[in-house]
Amino acid sequence: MKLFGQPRGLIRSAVIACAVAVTVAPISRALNMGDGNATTLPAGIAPAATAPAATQQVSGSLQATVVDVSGNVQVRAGDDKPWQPVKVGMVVDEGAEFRTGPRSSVRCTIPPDQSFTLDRLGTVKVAQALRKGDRLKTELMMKYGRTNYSVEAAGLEHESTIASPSGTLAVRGTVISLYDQPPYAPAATSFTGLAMFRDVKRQTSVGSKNGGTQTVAGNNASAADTALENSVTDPRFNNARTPADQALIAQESSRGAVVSFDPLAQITVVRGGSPITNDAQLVQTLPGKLNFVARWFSNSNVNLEVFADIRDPLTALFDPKGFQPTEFLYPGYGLNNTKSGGHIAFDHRGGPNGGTEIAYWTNPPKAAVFGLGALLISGPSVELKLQAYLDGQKQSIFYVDNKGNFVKTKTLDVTLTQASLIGGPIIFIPAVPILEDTTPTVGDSNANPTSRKPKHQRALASGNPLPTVPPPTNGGNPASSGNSGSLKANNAAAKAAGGLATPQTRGR
Amino acid sequence: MPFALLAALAFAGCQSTHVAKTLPANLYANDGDAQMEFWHSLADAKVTSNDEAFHAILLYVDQKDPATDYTGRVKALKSRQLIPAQFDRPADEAVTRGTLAVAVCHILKMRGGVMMTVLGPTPRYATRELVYEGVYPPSSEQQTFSGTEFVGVIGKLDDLQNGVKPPVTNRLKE
Repeated sequence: MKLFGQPRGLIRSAVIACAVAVTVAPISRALNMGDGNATTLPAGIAPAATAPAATQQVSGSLQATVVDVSGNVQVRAGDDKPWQPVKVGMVVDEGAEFRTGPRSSVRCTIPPDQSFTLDRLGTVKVAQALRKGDRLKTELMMKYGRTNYSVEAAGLEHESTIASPSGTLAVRGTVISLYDQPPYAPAATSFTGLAMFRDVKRQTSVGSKNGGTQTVAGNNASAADTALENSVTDPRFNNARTPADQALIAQESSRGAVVSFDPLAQITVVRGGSPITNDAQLVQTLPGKLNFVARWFSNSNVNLEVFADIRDPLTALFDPKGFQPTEFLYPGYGLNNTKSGGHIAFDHRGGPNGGTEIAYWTNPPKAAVFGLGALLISGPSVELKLQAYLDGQKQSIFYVDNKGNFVKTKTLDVTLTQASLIGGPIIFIPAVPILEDTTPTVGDSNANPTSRKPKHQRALASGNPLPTVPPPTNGGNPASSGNSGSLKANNAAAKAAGGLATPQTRGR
Repeated sequence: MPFALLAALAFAGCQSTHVAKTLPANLYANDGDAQMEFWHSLADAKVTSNDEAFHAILLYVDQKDPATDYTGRVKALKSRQLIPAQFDRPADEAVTRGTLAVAVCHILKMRGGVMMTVLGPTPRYATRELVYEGVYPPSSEQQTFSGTEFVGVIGKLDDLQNGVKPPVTNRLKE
């Protein structure tokens, strides 16, 4: 169907059907067009009426009255009539067409209770304005631009339509706006009341009875999707981040990292820079109260994983089913936030000097058991350093070493291969005294990263000396501070722990 | 020979679009009627030419176009840095989104990101900035605009500068 004489194009007319019961006594003006009142305007357009007619019209055509004009606005009585400037008070018949320029708008009322506003750079035609008894039928045709339409009060029954090139809006409410302007997706807004928006793909509701403003865009499935799309703040901007994230990402940037955003993974991405090698310096930069830190020092992309079993560690310790994580933190894909407040601010994708990833809680659970994992996303095998900090103090990381011993360390050094690391290291918050006292320590035993103790110092529990693993040699890795052996799969569970999950490597 | 033909076809495909029939000269006048006719005739055009786009920019910014020809418009826009200083395309060539993006970024006073701040609003980065801000649909700087799309972008510019007016109705005052 051609619209306004459009020569071609796949234009479908969109219809807004309004069904509102109105019970207002009709008052309509019966203006004589071309009746010799010395008007020079073409037929169909009349100046402001000075003698309002008091005739009650049961049926017949209605007219639109211009009540507000802003900027450059023109009207013509028909397709073959010349354009005239619009003035306030002007009355137009069916078939009249308005058009606006930049920074312009026109508002008209159609008695007894309808009004429409054509916004800047648009056209709208009053194709039909009829009254048949208690039923009012109005049809507006908008070629492009933005038109607001409203019915002021309940009363007579209305059947009103706004045609535009795309979509269909069935109005159950009374105040709507339709925007249809290439190259943008059409949008229907309900300011009050319920509307149904239908296009070639689907039908969806927008607004609600006595509800507030809602908008559905043509490229979204629903008003909720439109609102969600419009409410997303880009975390590339500093002001869109939490203070903790701001500081953390600023530190990365200060060390030469480049910050971007992965819209697919929906997470800030950091590349390059240099991880902090000194633990004392690292503590100063930690964003949360509880922090799990993964650092690597060569060009690979590593993803930190944190599993959380939110319950008392002793309960988990003696649970026959062992470690049962209820939360999972991963850098991206909506998994970088957990219900208990866990957060990963960014996905560090490596660089020549390695990278850092931190999973942190600002207000951590009072008691929980955490499992650490790591995925080697790309790049060669890498020496990975894992630590857990609570209030700036390193926490013990329990694991089963390659000899099958259940041990603990304050810094876990792992050679991360394509086999990755999952379900291995465990951290208890708060610390379990019996485990702390009875589990042998390997490698880093220094809980306080600010003190300068020799790396080879062993922690001895009070009383009987405990069996310990001899300190490994430093394999040239400046960050290595403990056992750098890789964990093997399917080692026996630590008997002292009574059935906790066994660290296992994961095939890919 | 076949290779020469293929090469010729390839080069022909690389040629930029030219507008076969631009708007008549009488629409470039500055009176209100001519301006209205210009905007709404442009909305019916299949492609927007450089001349039409520059006239539209001057109308939007100054509500009038004092230039009498395309050369004058180019000079006026260059003097205000609304188009790149090295711009030298013909009047009937389709305007690129990148060229228009430079003008829009200046009008909206957009600073942009690092590259745009360092290099200035080049067509490439101005386009990217406008796409990011939602002024442009996803675009590359080499694309062009149809007439109705161009008018839509000017309308969006108007919305950003002057705001979108809500409907005036007693229902919303309840």
